[in-house]
Amino acid sequence: MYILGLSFYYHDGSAAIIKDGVVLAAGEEERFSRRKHDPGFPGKAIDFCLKTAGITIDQVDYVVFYEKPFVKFERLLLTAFSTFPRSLKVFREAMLAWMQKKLWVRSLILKNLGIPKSKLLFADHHMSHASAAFFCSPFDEAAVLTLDGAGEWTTSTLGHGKDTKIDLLKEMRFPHSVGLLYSSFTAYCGFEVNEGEYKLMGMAPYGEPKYIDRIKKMIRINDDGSLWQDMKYFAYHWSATNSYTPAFEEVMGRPGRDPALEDKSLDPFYCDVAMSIQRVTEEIVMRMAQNAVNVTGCKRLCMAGGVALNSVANAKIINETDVEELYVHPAAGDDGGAVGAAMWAYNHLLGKPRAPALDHAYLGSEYSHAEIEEFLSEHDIAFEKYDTDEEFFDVVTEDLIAGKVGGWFRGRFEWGPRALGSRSIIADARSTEMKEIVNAKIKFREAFRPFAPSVLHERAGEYFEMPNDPSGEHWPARFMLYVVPVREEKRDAIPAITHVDGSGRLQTVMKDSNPDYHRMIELFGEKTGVPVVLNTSFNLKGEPIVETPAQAFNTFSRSEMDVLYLQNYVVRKEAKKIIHDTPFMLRHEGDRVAEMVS
Amino acid sequence: MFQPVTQFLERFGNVVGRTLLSVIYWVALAPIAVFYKLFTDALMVKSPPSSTYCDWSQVNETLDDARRQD
Ligand SMILES: [Fe+2]
Repeated sequence: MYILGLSFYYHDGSAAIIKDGVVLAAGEEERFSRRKHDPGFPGKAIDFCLKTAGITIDQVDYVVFYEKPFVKFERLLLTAFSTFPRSLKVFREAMLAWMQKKLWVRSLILKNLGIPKSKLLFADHHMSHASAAFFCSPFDEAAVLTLDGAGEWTTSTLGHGKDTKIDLLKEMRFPHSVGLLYSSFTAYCGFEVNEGEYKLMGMAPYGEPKYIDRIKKMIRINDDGSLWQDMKYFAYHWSATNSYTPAFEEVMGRPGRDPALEDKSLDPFYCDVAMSIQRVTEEIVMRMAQNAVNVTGCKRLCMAGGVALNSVANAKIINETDVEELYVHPAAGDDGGAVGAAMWAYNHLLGKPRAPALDHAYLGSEYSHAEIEEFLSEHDIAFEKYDTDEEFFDVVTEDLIAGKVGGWFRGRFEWGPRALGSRSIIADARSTEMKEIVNAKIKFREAFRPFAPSVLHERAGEYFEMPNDPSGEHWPARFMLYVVPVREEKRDAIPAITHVDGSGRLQTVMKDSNPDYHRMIELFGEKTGVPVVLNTSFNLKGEPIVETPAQAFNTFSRSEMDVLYLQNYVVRKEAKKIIHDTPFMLRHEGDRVAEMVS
Repeated sequence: MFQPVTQFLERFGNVVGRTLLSVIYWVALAPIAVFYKLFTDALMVKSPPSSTYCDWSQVNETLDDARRQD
């Protein structure tokens, strides 16, 4: 049985196809359309999914959309009533968007795919998140938590998953929302909502949690982790442009940071605010996790929703609550809703048996040696070709040791926001200057933002203080969803990936799921004694991660990367030029990702 | 040749749409909204309870349920 899952019209439109409960392919539309966070109908991603599955749309048994559009519409209407007359502008804008597009999701899908009505299903937004987390996990039974900005009405759920069923027990409802609280502080610190949350997280370690008391004047965290926000401090439920009110700024003691500053200053006040809201978020998430254990009696926890991308909080759940094992879906945000919706229909709705866990995120497209050679020859690009992988890995590791920064393009691209060794920029983690070099010359992004380490799973404990997962599986680390301390004695050995507070957002690399990347790092370790490389996503600031060899080559040419590895083909920087028929778009600061809550 | 015309029509349509929606907001929605604000607290703005968790109420357990958009 084939099921196609879809999520779109908020941000990161995506498609995923499953066969008998196994995820065959999944991808965000932005990778194909080249529009960062493309929220539109994921036509290209659907084509890719069908092609990978080797089927036509007629062979798909069900198509499942990841939320219930009319429930969300109801929320918008009732929120406009409740905030009358301040809601005029947001009402007008939201209604225009809904009347022009969002109310016609069903017709759009039926028309674009040409399927009968009976095949189209709608899941609940948070059930899609919960299903992505639980049905992809290795657990037969687990507590389930979902946390995001807002789905239809729901902003968080607590549930219990067992075999093929998820029982959602409790929900928190809009406008009280951990995700929207965090986003309000993202805006207050001068970053863009739905885009700048990573920057806020990266900035936090430069500050101290001095303003927790001020934040707690505006919210109440209950014992069970549920949250109440005093809405006189927040504006996202009635304003199209503001997340918070002047009263919020009064409590915080300073006006919001000027967004025009972008990354140009690291004002200690806003760093302290970033650290304070990080700590508050952790407190909420940990209380929720502990409550989930208490209510369900399960010490295994599955999580999804945008807040589950807060990797610092994830590690603390394991270390500081009764949760023993944690699984977070690799695409924890709304993109993951595409997989979740499909899994929900297969397992929960139809009661079909569970498939093995999703233990990797390599669900995207890939290109063969022949296709790469054809591209290079067609564009007259000089290359070296290595017949055996071992020879190739030898060249790569020698380059890294010589201080070169390389674009690594190999295998199927990753599902979710993280590059995990298929579309990565790699460098020597032992180099002190490497963080500045990669930020300034290659990614053209904020100098304070940290880089992640890729480390062999079996040797992670030598370099990092791994959380207390008795199973040793460390699922979130496979998807780069843990931030943990770098062992004090190792911090000087891997300075390029050690953040200012001594932490690292590690990716543990498994031999089973990515043997090539694993072997390259292993060989690097054999030569240097350090089985760790710096890994950041293969894109420029504002660009979606590269998908094709041509995009990889162009991004390589536009940056100061030294070398490009396309499977076993090596292209040196002397060969750089621009392939003009390959689309290249950068998303600039100020381009809206999407409305905050619509 | 038609592009400027379509662009103009699109902008004109948006302006008309916004104006109409403003009228609807002030004339048709206002009385409902005032009533709604007075007698309900859908956003849980007032009197914080000891927990903001409530029971999950969506019913979506059969194929017929799942075919619905609400
Ligand atoms: Fe969501």
